[in-house]
Amino acid sequence: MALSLQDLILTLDRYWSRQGCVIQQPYDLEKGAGTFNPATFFRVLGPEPYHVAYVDPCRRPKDGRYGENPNRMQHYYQYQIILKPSPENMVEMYLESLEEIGIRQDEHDIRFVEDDWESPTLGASGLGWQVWMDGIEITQFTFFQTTGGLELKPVSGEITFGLERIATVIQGVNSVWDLHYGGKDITYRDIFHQAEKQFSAFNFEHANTKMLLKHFKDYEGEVRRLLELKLTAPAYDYVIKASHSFNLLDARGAISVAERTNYIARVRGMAKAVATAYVKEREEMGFPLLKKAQKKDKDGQQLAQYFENS
Amino acid sequence: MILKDAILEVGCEELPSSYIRPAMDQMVAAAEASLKDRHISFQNLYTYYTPRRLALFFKGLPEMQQDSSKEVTGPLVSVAFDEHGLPTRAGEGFAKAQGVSAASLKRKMTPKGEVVVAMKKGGGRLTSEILAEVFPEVIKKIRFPKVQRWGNGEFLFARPIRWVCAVFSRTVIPFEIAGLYSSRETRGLRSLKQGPLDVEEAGEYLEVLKQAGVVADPDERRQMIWNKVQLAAADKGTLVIPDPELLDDVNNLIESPDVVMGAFDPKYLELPEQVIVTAMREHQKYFAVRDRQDHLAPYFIGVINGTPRDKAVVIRANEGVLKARLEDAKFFVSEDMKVPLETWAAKLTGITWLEGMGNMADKGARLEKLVEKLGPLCGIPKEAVKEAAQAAPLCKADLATNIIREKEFNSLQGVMGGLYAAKQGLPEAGEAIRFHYYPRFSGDKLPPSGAPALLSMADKLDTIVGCFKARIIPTGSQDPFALRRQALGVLQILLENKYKVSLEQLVGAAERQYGKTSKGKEVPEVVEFLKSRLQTVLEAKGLSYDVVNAVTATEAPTLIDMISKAETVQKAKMDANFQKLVTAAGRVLRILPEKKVSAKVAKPLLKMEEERGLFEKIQFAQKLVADTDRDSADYYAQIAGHLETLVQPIHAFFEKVMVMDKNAKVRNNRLALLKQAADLLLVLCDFRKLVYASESPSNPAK
Repeated sequence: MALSLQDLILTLDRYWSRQGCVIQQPYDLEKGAGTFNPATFFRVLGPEPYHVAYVDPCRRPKDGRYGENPNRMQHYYQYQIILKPSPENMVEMYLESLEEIGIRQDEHDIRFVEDDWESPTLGASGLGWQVWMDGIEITQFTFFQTTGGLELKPVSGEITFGLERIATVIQGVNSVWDLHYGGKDITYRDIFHQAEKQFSAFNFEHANTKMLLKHFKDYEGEVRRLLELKLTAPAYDYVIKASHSFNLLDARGAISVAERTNYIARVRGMAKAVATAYVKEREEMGFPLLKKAQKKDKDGQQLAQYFENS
Repeated sequence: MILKDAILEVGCEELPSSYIRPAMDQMVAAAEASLKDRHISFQNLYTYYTPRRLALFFKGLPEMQQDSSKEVTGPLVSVAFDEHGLPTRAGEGFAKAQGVSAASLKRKMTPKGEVVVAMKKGGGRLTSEILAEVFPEVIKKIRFPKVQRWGNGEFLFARPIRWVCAVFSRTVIPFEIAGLYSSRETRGLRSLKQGPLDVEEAGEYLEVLKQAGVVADPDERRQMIWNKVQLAAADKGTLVIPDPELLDDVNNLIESPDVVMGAFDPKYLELPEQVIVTAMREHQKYFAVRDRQDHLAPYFIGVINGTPRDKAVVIRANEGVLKARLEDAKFFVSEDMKVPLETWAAKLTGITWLEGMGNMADKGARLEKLVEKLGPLCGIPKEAVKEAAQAAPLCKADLATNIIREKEFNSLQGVMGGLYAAKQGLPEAGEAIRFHYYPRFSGDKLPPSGAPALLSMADKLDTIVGCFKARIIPTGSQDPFALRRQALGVLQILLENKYKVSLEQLVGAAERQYGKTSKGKEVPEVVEFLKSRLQTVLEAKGLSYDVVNAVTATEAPTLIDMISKAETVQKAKMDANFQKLVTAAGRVLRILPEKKVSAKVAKPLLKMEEERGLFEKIQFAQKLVADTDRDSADYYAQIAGHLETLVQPIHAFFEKVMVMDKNAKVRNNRLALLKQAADLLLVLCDFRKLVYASESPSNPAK
């Protein structure tokens, strides 16, 4: 019996937990990708190590298809893993995680195909791959080079799955709507289809563009005001909100091609300001997670020394 | 001498396929240069690579560097040693500079007297020691289009380096790079999970990998893939469509070749063939096959990495992906064909062509007018001009269609527009639309003559002029709109079709379509730009570079005239009489100053007999040139003959007449006379630019 969607999540959580990851929970704002979650956006900045895995709901208003497309939705789930610094055996860890969920290397043609990733709104970019299984794209694997316009040292490795896509592969169904989610024969359709139809209508036809345009401006102002108050975390919330407002406006066709670049640049400007403030803030705190890791290393070394001497 | 082998393998996470070959070329060049510098020769150098490894295999290296000791001559003994036989400061200094002790200096008699000599030691180092210097250098010299860091490191490479295997004969060549130490370890195919494998002896490298499922020799791998692909095709009674580019691409994507053959529903064969092949090729990298009637068959062959336990599982998944893509394509094409191409063309107002230079609809409108202007200039039949004018406003329409807006079908620009036009009953316009992007790359075929050639030329000229107006002008390696290639395309079309039109006319017409922003300012620079590309075209026709330089430095009414001039000069260049003309013309052209000289000669001021003689001969030659029949096949050969009548008068003039007379009036009059001669000579070419190998005819022995 193939894994249900919820068992898939549980299996991944357990596997990455064993690999030393913190398992965080979804962030409670509308985001276009798991990368927007502060557990990625903030944690990849600066020198502090961090290993984290989490499920994150993603909203891409333009991808709505009124629930009629078998694999395109405006709302779906990503499974996101950040390993900072990217360990030497990260690819092997990833392949092992696939085996955990039933994708064995000796049964499938698994390929790492060049794909350089960029998020112009977050000022983030990296080099890496799309991972293909039997010709199907199942994962985005990226070595982050910049975020918020800042060069990243150390480099974080990011693994992102579309959970529905990988579940359809594992369960051998043709449409996400037919996925077994969990419980007693509860399908993905049972849970999400109604909302998907309504949100598609909302995204394309009914979202209040006048209000959203105003919100975008207000959110931008709020980011500046909060940064002046040194409230970096709330400031970043407003970056996320501005980004989602932009995505809705884009789906409503309320933004022309020329304006589009300009809006993206504005979000990027906000993201950069927040990223810079965050690094400064952590520096003033003495990069606590770095200290903790160094202390752990030192304890380890002392222990080794002790055993060697005795 | 005993010769040994060495292997250097850089083990990485999967490299982008297009990066691999250039990286190998750089490694070879760097290794060859570094070893030569260090006086180490080898019999052969082989390159092995897969997405996970870049390897150099050196066949036949000596154990030690060649001896490069040499004798260095120093100062006179009397300078290097004092009267007591002790070294002077000069002697000590020389010895030190050569790295030897003053006591070891020897003496030698030379014609200058007795000097000291130092035996400077060189070479004789162990090859293993030198390889430890050369290998990391070779890796550091690789440049990739994009690089990254990883983990805590600072090292930049296309993807993370995970191991470095470096073995000379049986010993490890030790060095450190990217935070790693070299070793004798390599890795096999990921899916076999064998862990590190030792290369005991460099020569075993390929065999060790083969045991671990990896075919590291790219030629062997390519051949294996091709054999398997053909066998799979034959199994279904079909033939593979050869695609060397795709074969190279998949060869760089795998380490262990195998293939799967899948099928798709024959109902999709209703789609245009190009759409199906593109859907298979661009993203999925499948080979397409044809049946015995040469029709596309409903199968595909995918190349996979390693052999899975059950191919049926892999085939089913691949079939599913292709089905989704073909279904998408079918949907796009049927949506696109619901309305005529004109409807899509109307949407082009929303697609920017060039920042500040308007949209794609504007471009279409300009092209419609431009083909009507260029047609008569080029002598293209009226019917073809009409077809081109019909195609022009539609030629970019497919950019707005569903299928072309999809990234994976983007390469079908022009093809889809052409197909859609043909379906709505405009086959001629369709052909013009399809081919107006041709030639798309160097060596590509040219558009068929008539409407396609005309539209292609118009589109390219319009783009070049527009970019020059937007000040997007190619410099060095910067040529974002590939204007050089487009210019070459224009010239190739002109020559192929023998259109008798001047570059000035062509560019002028294209520039005038820019309405408000048309001020004619860019015309001369665009003409110059085209001329600079002309050299490439002419040299490709086998004309020597100096002839091309000499001819393109002068005017010609049309490009065909330019070619004819060049061919005439090339043929005449070695002729004795023509060489005399080259010498004489050189004397005239060299003396004229760069600044403008009037060509107005005042006859009364011509005092000397030789001045008057030249003047008369010029007038006579001018008449001869004017009377020559422009349509005759050997027009320029005749012109050359007429110019030869000036040889004697020119030499006579220079022997007797002093051009730089003290009297300014006389001086200017003589310059004007020479200017007249020069103008006449330049009808053929700029003789100064012709290059002769040994005896230079422009400096004849008196």
